[in-house]
Amino acid sequence: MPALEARNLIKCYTAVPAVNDVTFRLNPGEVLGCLGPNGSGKSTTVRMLTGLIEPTRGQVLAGGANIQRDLVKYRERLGYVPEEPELYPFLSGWEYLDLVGTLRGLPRAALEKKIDAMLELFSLTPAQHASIGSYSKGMRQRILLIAALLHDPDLFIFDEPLSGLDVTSALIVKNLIKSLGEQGKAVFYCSHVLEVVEKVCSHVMILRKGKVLAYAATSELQKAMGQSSLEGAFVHLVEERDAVRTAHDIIDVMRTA
Amino acid sequence: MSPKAAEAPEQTTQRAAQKPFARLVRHCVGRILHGGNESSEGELDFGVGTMLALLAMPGAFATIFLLGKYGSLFRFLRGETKFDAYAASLPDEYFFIVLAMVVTGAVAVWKWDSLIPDRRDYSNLAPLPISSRNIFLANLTAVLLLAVVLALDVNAASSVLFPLMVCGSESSFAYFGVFLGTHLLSVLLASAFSFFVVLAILGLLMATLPYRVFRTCSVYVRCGMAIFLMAILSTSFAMVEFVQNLPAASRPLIKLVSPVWFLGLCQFLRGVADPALASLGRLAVVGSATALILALGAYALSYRRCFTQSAEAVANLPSTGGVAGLRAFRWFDNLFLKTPFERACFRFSLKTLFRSENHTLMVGGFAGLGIVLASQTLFEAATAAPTSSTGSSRLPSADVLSIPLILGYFLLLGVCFAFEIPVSLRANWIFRLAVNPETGECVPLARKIMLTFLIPFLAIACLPVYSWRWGWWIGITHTAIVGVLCLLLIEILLMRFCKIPFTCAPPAFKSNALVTVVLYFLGFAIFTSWMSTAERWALEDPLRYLVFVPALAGTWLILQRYRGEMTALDSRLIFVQRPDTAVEVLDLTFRR
Repeated sequence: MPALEARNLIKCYTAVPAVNDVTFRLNPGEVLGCLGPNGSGKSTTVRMLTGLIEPTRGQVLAGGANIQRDLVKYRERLGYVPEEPELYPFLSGWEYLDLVGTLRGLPRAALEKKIDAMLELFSLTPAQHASIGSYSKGMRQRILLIAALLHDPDLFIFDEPLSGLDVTSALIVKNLIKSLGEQGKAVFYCSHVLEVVEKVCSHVMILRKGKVLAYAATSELQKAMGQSSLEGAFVHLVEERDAVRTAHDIIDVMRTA
Repeated sequence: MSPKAAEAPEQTTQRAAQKPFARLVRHCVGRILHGGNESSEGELDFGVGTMLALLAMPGAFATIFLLGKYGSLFRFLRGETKFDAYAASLPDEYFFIVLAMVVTGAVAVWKWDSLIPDRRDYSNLAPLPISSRNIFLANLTAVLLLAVVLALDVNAASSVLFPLMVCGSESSFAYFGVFLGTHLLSVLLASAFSFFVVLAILGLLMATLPYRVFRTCSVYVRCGMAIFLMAILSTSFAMVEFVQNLPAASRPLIKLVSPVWFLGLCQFLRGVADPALASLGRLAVVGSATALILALGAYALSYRRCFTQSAEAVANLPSTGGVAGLRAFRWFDNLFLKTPFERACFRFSLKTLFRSENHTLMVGGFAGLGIVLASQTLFEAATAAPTSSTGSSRLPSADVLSIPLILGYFLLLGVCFAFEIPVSLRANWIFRLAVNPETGECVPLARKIMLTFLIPFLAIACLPVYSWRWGWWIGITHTAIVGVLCLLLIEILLMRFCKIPFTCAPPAFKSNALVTVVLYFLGFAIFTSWMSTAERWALEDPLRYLVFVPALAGTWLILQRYRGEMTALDSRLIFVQRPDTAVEVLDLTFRR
């Protein structure tokens, strides 16, 4: 049974649907990469998958059951890292993780140990009692990652988790995502970075203007497109404009007096 | 005139506005008005027009309320034939000076964090080819511009209406002109003085304290200033009597009350001040000049310290207190907070109340208002002559009994109001994800937070003071009565409460806001005046306390019954509060 399944998801804010008939299945042990240009409906899809917004039509199923029937139970087994690191600036990193862990009902002693260990592993111990307002974007992102991992969920939804991370942290997170898949966890991974998706994701879904353009195993997609890399497949599917030509045009405009 | 010539002035203005310095000043004005710090995002922010209108309102309303006093028809009906405008207007002149100082000072305290450029400004402006001196000058110009606009706006309505009203029956225009000019000069100078004193304090604190210490004590200093401003407002009721008897009752402490300086200046310029008042008037000029110089000096120093060195301060992260502070919550967990929801949200709420400046100021403002009203009540009770020398005069009066009720009322109201103001609204996604919306724990949580403020107040202030002054019996019974009444007040305030404090977006406009304000005034009268009078009556014969039992129990039962009748939909946890609609659609299918 798939850990997460989207069936004909449609979300309309205006007459034009932001997400139009998105369907996929994510099994335990799979890492599904979601790619698409700006405005392709990635964030809306993620928000529907987390239950933060309800689809206009269609269903999100977890373990075969519609998540809207029991959102609380669904969210107990969900680890989510949002695109924007929105955190309470007046709390310290430690306090924020304590808040999240306590809300999730983790036992006190175990929670404190876990927070300390995670902060150490993510190199945040020196800043653990500083207010989040003073954190860099990368530090906030690491706090969000820890918050998603604390309760050992079996389903992860990551929306641009590498945003703002330094090279070392990004390497750790890439390996972490791979390892989560190997541990049998299901991971839905949304990103702009094609190379990372290519390296860590077993499956890829490409969205454009709210619709699924392609959905397959990463290697199969490359083969089907006749491309040696995911970037080639993506450009072949999505890009309407010649990137090289546009770059030259930008230089021309820049030089205009 | 040719169209080209007609367009010229407009184009010149546009060109001037596009110059880098003018654009920078505009930017600085904008960031001061809309807040610069990160924590203020998505919180209280008014449009400029609305803000200016709101600030002008107290002066306008205060003047309109004086129509009965100065209107010639009203004076004729009262049989007043002789009218000395200068003498009659003295208390009101003092009130307008105080009002000008309080409103301007309050705005400066409110905009405290935006007055000096911060790290965000540094990261945005420093990479641009603008000299540090120009950034400083632009921000200083913006601050001075704000001070001028504020002073003019706050006093605009009263400066026109008040002289018109007072001098309406005078035939001489010169008389009106002198009255208007002196009034305008006094209130404008008072406003500027108040603004620059706040700016000087801010600048001096920033220039002298380490950044970490400054951030920690900033909120408490602001609360202290808010309470001080409200205390000054309360002097308008008592101070005029001292001023009128100045030569006879010369009190050295009166020199410390700054609004009296400006009243002295006003009367001196009108040529009606006695020497004592005139000497105080000179203090107004000296004080204003000193405040301006101090403010500019402190501003320059703090700018140098906090803005130009802010890039280095990035590495120096301010601490929130560490694990030791967090572990203080542990015994609370074991004793009072039974569920994970309560534990997490209780800590979150207390930290918000003490660390978010808007929320601390809100509670501090309400507590300050309570302190001002309580001190006034105490002052009245202390100066009131005893009515008899019987045994009952040894008991505390109703006024004295009402003091903890006044303080409790404002403290609880302040906390409850603060709950409604969201903090970093976009960060509430974690509550949306991790909390069961069907949890019925919002009211118990909010009740416990309010009790955290109430119980120390009762135990540390109310019980010892009343026991020491009137004996243990009165101390204990009065504290018990205040405690029970406050518990009932909490239940009333939380009647339809179904949110986690600070996480819910308020509606854009509450159609019932006026009714709510009237209800709060009525509630204040019932809670403080009626209840203390009833308690005073019961004190004379302790058996009368038995009347309280059924009355309070009955109220409690009614509240519980009302809450019991709320539907599951009404008590569902919300994160967005929608305004009450004019037409409700009944979902009758729900009942099938």
